[in-house]
Amino acid sequence: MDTSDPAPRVNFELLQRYIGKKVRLVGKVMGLDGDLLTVKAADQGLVYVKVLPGAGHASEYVEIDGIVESPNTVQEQQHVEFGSNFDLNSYNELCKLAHFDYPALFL
Amino acid sequence: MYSGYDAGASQFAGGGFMPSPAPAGDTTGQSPKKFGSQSQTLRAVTVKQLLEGTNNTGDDQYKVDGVELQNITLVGKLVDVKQFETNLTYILDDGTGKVEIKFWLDNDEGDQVQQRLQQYRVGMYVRAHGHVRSFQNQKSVVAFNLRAITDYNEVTYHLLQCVFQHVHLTKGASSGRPPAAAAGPTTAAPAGQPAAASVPATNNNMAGGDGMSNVQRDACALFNSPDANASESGISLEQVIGSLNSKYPVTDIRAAVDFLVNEGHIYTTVDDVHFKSTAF
Repeated sequence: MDTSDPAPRVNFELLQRYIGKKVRLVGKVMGLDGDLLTVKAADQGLVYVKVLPGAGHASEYVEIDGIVESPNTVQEQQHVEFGSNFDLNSYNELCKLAHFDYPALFL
Repeated sequence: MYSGYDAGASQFAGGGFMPSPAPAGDTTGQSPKKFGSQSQTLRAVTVKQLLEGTNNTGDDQYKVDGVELQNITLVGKLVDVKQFETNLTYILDDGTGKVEIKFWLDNDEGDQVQQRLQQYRVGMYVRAHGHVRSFQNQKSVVAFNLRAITDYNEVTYHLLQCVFQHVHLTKGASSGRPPAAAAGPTTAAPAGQPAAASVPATNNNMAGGDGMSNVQRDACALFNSPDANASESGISLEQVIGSLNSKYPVTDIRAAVDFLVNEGHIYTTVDDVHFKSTAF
């Protein structure tokens, strides 16, 4: 068991806290231009994800594991396709609860 | 709202999987070792909660939020799968940390190993059910069930459930007896005993702890009166309406009488509109 390398679940607002660190970002795929994926985070902010070459991004919602490079860019390390049925509003509430109210459980 | 609270609490404080009444021993004392449904709880936890779980007794009994863990459930992404002679070992990452999950193999499970290996691959989200074990000071989970997640709202749900159970166990229950108090006001208020005070009577009108609304309770009281019982045919619907229509709308009174019939509190006598209480 190991909690030394966590990937906090973030929305756009929380992203800037983790520059240079690993995060887990769930959002809606808005478009892919070359290797730059535009993702709308749970609190509606737009994040640009530098995707791995050859990694397909076919689903409507996606979870990105990656390193935050700037307040709105993330370098992808892995991703999981979350399909077309995902409630971002609930997820946004979860991000806020995890960071502001109950960090002891998550961070 | 109220019923949602019910179901959530019962999964980790009540009878396990079903909102069942607390066992009879509930009111007689809180012995340190409890067996039966009270001890068969299912807790939703994060890996971080597990890692920080305390163990004072030296055996495999861990506590999170001051309550012993029995069955636990985790949701996360598989980041490693290893096949051994006797078990399959997965590493699950839920964002708060990573934990080893062992799946012991029976001899006759040989055919299923390949099937499992194909079914649960690195990169996919799963829900695991199991027990916490420690080996050489390393905690791990021995799983008895693993299931692939297909609706990813379950990820949100699980983590919110972790928060809910944490809050319920640390703040929600009355002092000293968290699991029993959790079951008390929702499922197990025995007849004649006032509901536990830890949950304030809310804006619904079910203040009595017997699951009845005020109109239902008043109607029930009428049927339970000595006069109603003395009469061979009980009392009629018209009489009930006559007694209660100053307090409640007629439609509510009719619905309450239907409710009492359906719940077995009263039964019809000489015709469909005369009833007697089953309490005598």
